[in-house]
Amino acid sequence: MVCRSRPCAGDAVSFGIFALACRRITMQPVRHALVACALLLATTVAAALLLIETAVARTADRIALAGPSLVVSRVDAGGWAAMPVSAADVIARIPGVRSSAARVWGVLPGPPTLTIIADPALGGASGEIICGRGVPGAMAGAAFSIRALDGAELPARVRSLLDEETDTLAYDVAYAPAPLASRALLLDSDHATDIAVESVRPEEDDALVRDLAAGLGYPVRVVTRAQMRGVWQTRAGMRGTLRLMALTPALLTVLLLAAALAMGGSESRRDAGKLKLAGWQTRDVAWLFALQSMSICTASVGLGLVVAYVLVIPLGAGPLLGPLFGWTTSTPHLILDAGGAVQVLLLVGGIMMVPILGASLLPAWRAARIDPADLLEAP
Amino acid sequence: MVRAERLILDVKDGTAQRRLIDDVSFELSVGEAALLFGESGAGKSTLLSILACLRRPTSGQVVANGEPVSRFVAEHRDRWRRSVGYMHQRLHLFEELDALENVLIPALPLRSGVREYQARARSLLESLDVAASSGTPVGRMSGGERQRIAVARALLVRPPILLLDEPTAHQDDARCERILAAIDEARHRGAAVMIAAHDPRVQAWPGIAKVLRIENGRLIAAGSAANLRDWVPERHAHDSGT
Repeated sequence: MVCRSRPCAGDAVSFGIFALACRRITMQPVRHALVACALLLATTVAAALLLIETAVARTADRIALAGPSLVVSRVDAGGWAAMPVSAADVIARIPGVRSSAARVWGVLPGPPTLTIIADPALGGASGEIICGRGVPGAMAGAAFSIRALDGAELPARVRSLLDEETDTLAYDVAYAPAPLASRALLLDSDHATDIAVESVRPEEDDALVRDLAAGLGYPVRVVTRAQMRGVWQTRAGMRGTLRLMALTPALLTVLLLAAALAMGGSESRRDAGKLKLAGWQTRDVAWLFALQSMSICTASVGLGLVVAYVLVIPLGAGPLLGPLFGWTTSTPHLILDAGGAVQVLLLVGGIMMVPILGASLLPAWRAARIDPADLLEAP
Repeated sequence: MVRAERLILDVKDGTAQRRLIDDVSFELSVGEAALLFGESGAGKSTLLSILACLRRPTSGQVVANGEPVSRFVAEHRDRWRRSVGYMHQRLHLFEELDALENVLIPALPLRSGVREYQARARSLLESLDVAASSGTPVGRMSGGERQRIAVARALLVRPPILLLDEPTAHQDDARCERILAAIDEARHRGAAVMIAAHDPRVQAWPGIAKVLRIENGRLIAAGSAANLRDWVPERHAHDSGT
């Protein structure tokens, strides 16, 4: 007396179970659509925030690595002071220094606030500047007025605007001829803001600090690349807060959904009993419930992750920066480093899916522990 | 062959113990149909649920093909239950699914023969006078239709053991005959059939070879179909008169 029908071999799940899982979703479309929307939103918000945080941190690291090995600036009793351009030649002769260059740059309070950087390639007296896209009123070919630190209006003409790929570095920056930049910053033509130094061996930067300090005849402050990166590291506390901001609502959402699934378990237990009555094994029942919840979960969480990725990496987080940071004017198109995105997406995906999967398997797990007759009589 | 050996089922009723099945033993052979009858609450459905391994007996055992299936661990009992076509008195259909979907439920975990089962499900529904392709959820169907769907579901995978709890209770004579014909076909294929029923039409069905009478959980009589007339004379007298 052997039944002719054979169950699935091994761990294979039959298409019929998957078909029933899909059918059960369509049986309660509103309920499942709400669950899917909640998961989609929670995933998008959590993943986007974490992606921004990770991408900004990695981009900052990349920028720090692209900067000079050391920056030497003069200080006196009042703080920062301009330093003679000739200091670059003095520094260049110090052993361990590969090259040095005087830099003229500074922030003009405006309005509008403008970061001005001297660019020798722009020629001496052309009066032409190149602006980032975030400089208010700057249009290619148009006249532009720079308000110097003493309030004087300095006439200039915008040669061109930088394209959006430079937004991360130069959104509100104006590159100007050195004389114009020096005038705006009230620097003499033979003085610079600081000296950028490239060392021969980056690992000896710390040792070079003492030589640089001793090589000039006035007090200086020397900042190494490692120290610049350290500034970002000190913002770890803020990053932790952002992570918490991102994950708390997502966790709450997913736990509420999981709790709702677990509390609605009597219906699922009865269904498990009906299925066992019809010859299903616990494994088949578990597959059904898992496939049902995973179909919704995978679709909504997967879509949420894709939306978050597209918003943050290809779109440069632009649509999110206004609501997140309160920027009401045009927002920069950040060129963010996508490295680490996979870990973030896996983390968020796991956090969203594991509790839902667990809650959906609970009825099957309970069903395995009690007689099917008791399942059918579940209240 | 299925054999019940000294089955006892005790359940807790508050602080007290209540005996639902009391020392029941019988045997059911291949291709044999047995009628289980008794008053409401006598323990018929409970006995069927023990035979289907939906419930474990407190003591005694159910033996099928020489194996003590009721003593199997849950996973093996689940696997054995594939050999049982069970129609519960409460039907336990999926209300939102239609007739065809409900009948196909036992076949869904099976990896092969999908089309064969679909064809068989349609054929069974047709033979039991249920529209297979209506798409109407069974929750909106009549009690009689739902009952026939449950019978079709129990028959779908051609199980070697059929346990049917009141399969004809809500049927008119024509449809009752259809159900009994479908059961008879299964019996002729070699299925051991046990039907719990009050329905005199089932009691009068010539396919019944064995009759078991249960009262207060005890099997008080077992015999051939001919004995039935002696046990329920008033009903047969009534049937003869109508």
